[in-house]
Amino acid sequence: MTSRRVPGTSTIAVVDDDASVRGAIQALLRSAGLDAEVFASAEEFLGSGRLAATTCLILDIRMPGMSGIELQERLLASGHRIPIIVITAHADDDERARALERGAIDCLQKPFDDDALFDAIGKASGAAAP
Amino acid sequence: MRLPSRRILRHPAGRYAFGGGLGALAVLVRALLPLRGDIAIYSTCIVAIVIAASYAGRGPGYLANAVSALGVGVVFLSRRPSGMPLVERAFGLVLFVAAGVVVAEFVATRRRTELALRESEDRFRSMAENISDIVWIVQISPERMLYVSPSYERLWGRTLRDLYADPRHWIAGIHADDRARIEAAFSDWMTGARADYDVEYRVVRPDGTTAWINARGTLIRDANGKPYRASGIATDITERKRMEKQIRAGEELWRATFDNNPTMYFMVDAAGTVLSINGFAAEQLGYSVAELRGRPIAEVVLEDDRDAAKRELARCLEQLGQAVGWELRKVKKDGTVIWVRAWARAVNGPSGTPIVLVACEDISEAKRAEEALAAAEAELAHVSRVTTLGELTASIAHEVNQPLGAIGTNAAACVRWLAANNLDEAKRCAEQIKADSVRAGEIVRRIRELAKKAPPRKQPLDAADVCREVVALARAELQRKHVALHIELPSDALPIVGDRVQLQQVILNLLVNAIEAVTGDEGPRDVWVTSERNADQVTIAVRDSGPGLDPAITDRLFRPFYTTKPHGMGMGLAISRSIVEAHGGRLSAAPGEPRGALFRMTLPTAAAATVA
Repeated sequence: MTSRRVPGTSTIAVVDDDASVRGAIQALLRSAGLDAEVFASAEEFLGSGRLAATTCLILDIRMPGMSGIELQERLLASGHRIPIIVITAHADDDERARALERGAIDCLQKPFDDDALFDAIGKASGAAAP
Repeated sequence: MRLPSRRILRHPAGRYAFGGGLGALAVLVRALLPLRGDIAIYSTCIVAIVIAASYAGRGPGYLANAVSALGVGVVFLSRRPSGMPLVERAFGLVLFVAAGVVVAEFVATRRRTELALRESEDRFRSMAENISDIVWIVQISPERMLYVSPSYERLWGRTLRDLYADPRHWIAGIHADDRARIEAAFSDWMTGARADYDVEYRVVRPDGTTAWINARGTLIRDANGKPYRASGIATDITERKRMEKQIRAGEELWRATFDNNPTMYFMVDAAGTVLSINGFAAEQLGYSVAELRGRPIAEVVLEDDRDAAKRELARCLEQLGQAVGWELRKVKKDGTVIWVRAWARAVNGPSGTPIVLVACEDISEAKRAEEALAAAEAELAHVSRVTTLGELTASIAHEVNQPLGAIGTNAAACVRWLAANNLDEAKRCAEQIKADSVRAGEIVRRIRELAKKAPPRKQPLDAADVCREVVALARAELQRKHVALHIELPSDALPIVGDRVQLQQVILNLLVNAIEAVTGDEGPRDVWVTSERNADQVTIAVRDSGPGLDPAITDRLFRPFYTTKPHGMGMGLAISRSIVEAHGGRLSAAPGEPRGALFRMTLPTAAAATVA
């Protein structure tokens, strides 16, 4: 996976098993001048060593292996307080509620409106700021 | 005259002794008789010669002549009883000997003729009276029975005397139904109104028993060609008639069996011309037997099936004596098409040229039922397929939503790039949109194909491809249920022949079952889809890490309406198995290693399927 990091700007990570989806999100963020690192799985993200540098995590819930919810729980448990925007391709109110419960900034349903994503990112950067 | 013993006369030596003895006796008798005169001297000798020649033949006659001449010459001539000069006496002796030769010759010839005649008559009689046939001779005018052999009494049960008394008495013995016909035929023949006489009739004996008679006759003509006698033979043909009747009855039975047996029989030559056809076949096809005999059999075969029928006929002729079976459609006279199952066998005909015997059975009903069953099966398979798809609805929606989401996101990015006038980036986004829409379209196409109701269509396929398509459909379901899928497919194609949708249905069904098996408990969630080729077979296997199958239910698994699922219809595996079997393959279940269940489907490779 390619991961780009522009020094001095906040780092957004995208974790989604679907290459098209994470590619599209990366493209959208770049069109707004935001750089993003993409990961194909929760495991890949956890093993990347980029947790501390990540200021916002755009996370797919349903993935093979570790799911988005599990990753969220893992981060909470290990004390990483990365603002998380959950995206899901499925209108599953239960999952949505669980994500928000665990402190997700927002839960967007695919296909989502780009403005909604940027709003959430804006909220996340606010939340991330000490 | 019974003088000489016949036994003596049977041997040549006896006959000569008889002749010589008679000659000597004549001399003795002459010596004892007081006869006077030259002629009288020889009278007893002449008698001896005649008797010897007539009873013993020419040789003994000559001997009697010689002996008596010698005796008379020596005894009487030397005594000169009449005082006749010696020369005259010697002349008289020579004259006597010459006369004796003539007499002996004459008598012997007559005897031979008589003997020959008697012999011929004896032969005729012994023949006529010993054969079982009746031999008869009739004088025509006035009509009189000249001869009839004694067999008449046995055959007619009437006396010869009655027949000699009335030459038409035999007609009275003829069966009442035949009498008038035979009497007319006989009279017509005798008067020349009918050329020949060769008739068959029944005779009823006075004791009531019946005999079949064949009578034949010939007319005997005089020098002018006018018939004056008729002769003939009457033969007992009762036994022959009985056998003929038996043979005819056998033939009739055979014919009736052949004609009425509810199977269509054809006998055709190598060119396919109908040599013989039974009544039932003609009737079934709406023709008469005469209409089809001599016609090419192809005329009653549906045009589409003619080439195949021709091939099968050729195969029959190649494998003389071997039964060959196939199914084809025949056309009735009224145009109705019927399905028949044909069994044919070529054999060498009576003239040495091969003929083909074909038996056909109308299987139209069975075919219709078969078609209806196939339609019902296809319908059921469709329902089952749609049901399976229904179970996957949530996952499939997710699967379609992924590219749709990407398209929306890329479109938003594209709009932003366009606003920023960055056409390169905008173009890249647009291209991604294009790729994702193709992907979404692919998913929709797969679903539509599976949901579509279409008649099964067999085509060359790659088994690995079929597996990949199914996996693509189930991917979302696997993810949703957190099931890890392990696919092991060879890089080489696995050529098979079959209906893509039906085979996908089977794999999808096995896959959905496997997913359910591994999500039922807390164990590992692994599913393997593998496909490989072994010689002329392609195996597609779906294995899971679930709790496995209860051995007690393994054989019930494939039965219709057997289900372990609360909302299952119990048709999935039953339909799957019938689909696989319709492809010439097998579907079986076995315990997985180290745990779980293994469902294995084997199909013939494209090459093997074509051969079969």
